[in-house]
Amino acid sequence: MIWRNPIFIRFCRSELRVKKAIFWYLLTFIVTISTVAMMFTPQVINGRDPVDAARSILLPLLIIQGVILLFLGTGSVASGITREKVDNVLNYQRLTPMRTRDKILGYLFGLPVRQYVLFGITLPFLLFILIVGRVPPSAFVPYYLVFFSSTILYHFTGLVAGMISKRWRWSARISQGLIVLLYFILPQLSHIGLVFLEFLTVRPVFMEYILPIVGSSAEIEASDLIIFAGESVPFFNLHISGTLFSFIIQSALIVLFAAIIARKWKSDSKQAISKPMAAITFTAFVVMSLGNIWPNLVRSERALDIFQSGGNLGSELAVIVLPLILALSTTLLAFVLLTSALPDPMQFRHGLIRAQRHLKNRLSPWEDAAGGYVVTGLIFLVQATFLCVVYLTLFRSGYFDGLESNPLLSVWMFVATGLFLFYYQGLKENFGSGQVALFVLLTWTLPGLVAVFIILVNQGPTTLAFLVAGLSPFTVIPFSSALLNSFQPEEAAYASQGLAVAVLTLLAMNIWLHLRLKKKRNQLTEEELGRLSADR
Amino acid sequence: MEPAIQIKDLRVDYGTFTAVSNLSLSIERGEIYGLVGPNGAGKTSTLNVLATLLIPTYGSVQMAGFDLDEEPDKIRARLGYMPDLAPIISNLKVWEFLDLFANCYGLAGSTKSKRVDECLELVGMNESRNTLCGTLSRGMTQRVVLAKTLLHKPDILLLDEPASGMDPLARIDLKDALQAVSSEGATIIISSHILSELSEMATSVGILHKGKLRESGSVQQVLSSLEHVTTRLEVDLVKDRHECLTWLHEKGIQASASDKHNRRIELDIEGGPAAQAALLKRLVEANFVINGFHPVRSNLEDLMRSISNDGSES
Repeated sequence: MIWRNPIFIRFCRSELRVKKAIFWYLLTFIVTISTVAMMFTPQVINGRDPVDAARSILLPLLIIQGVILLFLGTGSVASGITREKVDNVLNYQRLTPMRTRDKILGYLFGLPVRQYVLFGITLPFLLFILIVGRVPPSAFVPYYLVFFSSTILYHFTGLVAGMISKRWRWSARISQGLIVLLYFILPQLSHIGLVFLEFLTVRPVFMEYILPIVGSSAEIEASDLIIFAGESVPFFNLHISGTLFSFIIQSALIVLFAAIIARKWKSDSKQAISKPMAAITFTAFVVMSLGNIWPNLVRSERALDIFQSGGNLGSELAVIVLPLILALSTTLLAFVLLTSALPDPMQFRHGLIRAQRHLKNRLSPWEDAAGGYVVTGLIFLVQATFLCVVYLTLFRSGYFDGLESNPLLSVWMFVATGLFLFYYQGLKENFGSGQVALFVLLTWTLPGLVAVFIILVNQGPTTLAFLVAGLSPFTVIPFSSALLNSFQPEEAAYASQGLAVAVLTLLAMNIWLHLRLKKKRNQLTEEELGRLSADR
Repeated sequence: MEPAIQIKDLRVDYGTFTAVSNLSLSIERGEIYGLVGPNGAGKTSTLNVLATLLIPTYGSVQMAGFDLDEEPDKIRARLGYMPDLAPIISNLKVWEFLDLFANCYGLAGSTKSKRVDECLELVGMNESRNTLCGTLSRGMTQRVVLAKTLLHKPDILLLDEPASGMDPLARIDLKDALQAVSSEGATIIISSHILSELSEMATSVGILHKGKLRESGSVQQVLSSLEHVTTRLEVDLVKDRHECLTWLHEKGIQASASDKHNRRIELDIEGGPAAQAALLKRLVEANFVINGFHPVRSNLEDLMRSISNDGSES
């Protein structure tokens, strides 16, 4: 029981001292009562039905509750856990014999305990609205279920940010960044087919259950905000309720975050995720993406309204855009996962030293300090299979019919993603995360910017611009997709030139990086063998 | 009976810097082992590994009969760890701080209250039990954290510079508390950069320098191994400074009058505390009235430098 959890009790003692919290209690009470009184009373005095008047206050109250639990609560969790870590108090907890699960739960519910009390202060007003507004339980129960699972997810986000960042300020920024990403940026990707990302928020369930009962006073068109307003979600040939889908997506992310936190509990110096976890997360993302985009691939009636196509994306565009979106999004995810799971040069070095000392040639490929060839290869295999299914389904659904594009050119997409993944693995293991960021800035973005400059100066695309852009490794994916561009043959020709440069650049980089890794390994082996014999 | 702590070939790297190198050590049950070394010697890294908070590059560690690599949780349950600059939860009262950890270690009801009281009493902080931890002085914070470390009666205590910030009385309390805990069978590793501080409470000491264990053994053994170290002494005389200088020169001891104090002599003497004690005895027997006699450069840096030079020469 959480109220018996020592860590939760500790936060109840420190965070709920009346002297310290009275300001927040009063502020919440005053803001809530003012909102309810100022919105409800004038409407009733002016003759509006009390039921409608009460229902019209639901939205502002939900916003107040959202600010308290989702925004302030997540901030408390992120900054609180980082302070514990920076002050070294977390180490005390690491050493206690409590179960890791209990420690995590203690912090998860203890750090934002004041926000839960503030949320409690709004409940009498909610009760008033539900009773006077005659809001049916079938409307608010699903909403609050998803609201609380979102709260847990967001607080887990705060915990993860706090556990992975080394400085207090960074944790606040990382958690704010993650919230903006989860709540505002990722849901926008539903417009290009990654629908499941929309269900990380409470918005779909709000649209499904709350908006209809708020009535005309809301003056909001659900479809203006999200793709799914109260509809079921397509997943391959199934249609899943939005609430259930939200639960599935949020639970999956909560499990991932809990696993990250548990790892960090055991040792702060470990990478955020293990290699098997990276592979599983990647596969789950791929399956979700494929499931959502499936109706579009098979030209079903329930196809998504992506790119404002009304569910009927033209063949010329579909064969380029659909694989491109999926290749880019999965590569981006692979990039994040490999960054979090692969060892940096020092961990890699320590792993090699350990292996030498234990008289082993190498570590198991799934160990944290082991090199990432196996996990990168596995992720590449999953991605390649996924892209293969996408291209084959597009072909079988007749998207290529009547087009001049050669479907076999899609092979370049596999080459591109493979080269890119192994290039990134080599980069991370050779130089570590810090220098990778510098690499990304200089070698990924600079050629792209120069290419844009050349295009602007020439007032149109030129061979030179594409050749320069090809020097940026990331362009290899869009260029390989653009080979299938049948309605702009000139652009396709430019893309093929850019692709040639990009592939050659990546190939050269791959050879250099992986030979460097091999040399480093051999050098270290010799060093350690020398040291070993000296020690003996 | 197997040792309480057995370390074999321990190595800790931070990047390309090796903080602890090939450290092998065996500590018996009930021993108070002093780990002494200057800043950066590798004391905290060693203690962090033993506290299961730092994964070593390699090496094996057995504690309380368990392997650190395989059963860290079993070790943690038997471990009390007090880090350097011991942190505290500033917005809890002293008793709440102890109550939190008593709960975390599974103590409950009257056993818990009794143990919290005992530990507060042991470190002399009973009167401050309702004080907010954030308002305590550095020395008092050290005492509260020590009380917290002792709550669950650990088999092994790891104390990183526990006496820093403590006044002389608190240091005596600390010494008494550690001896009481040790007499109940607990093994204690205590680190410090002040050798004299450790020699008062430790049963054996190890000198760590640049990540390597240079000396290890009983306090007497280690002190005698330092006999060849040159120490600068300041001798304050009530009178007869000139005569004393002459006497010292006759005995072959290089000495000079201090520029700052008109009754002080500065001299270099070879040997550790035993040699210093012998010189003092001879001065007294020669009827010089001594007001003060203290080493000014017998600090650990000098000893370390000496040990380090020896190591490189051999």
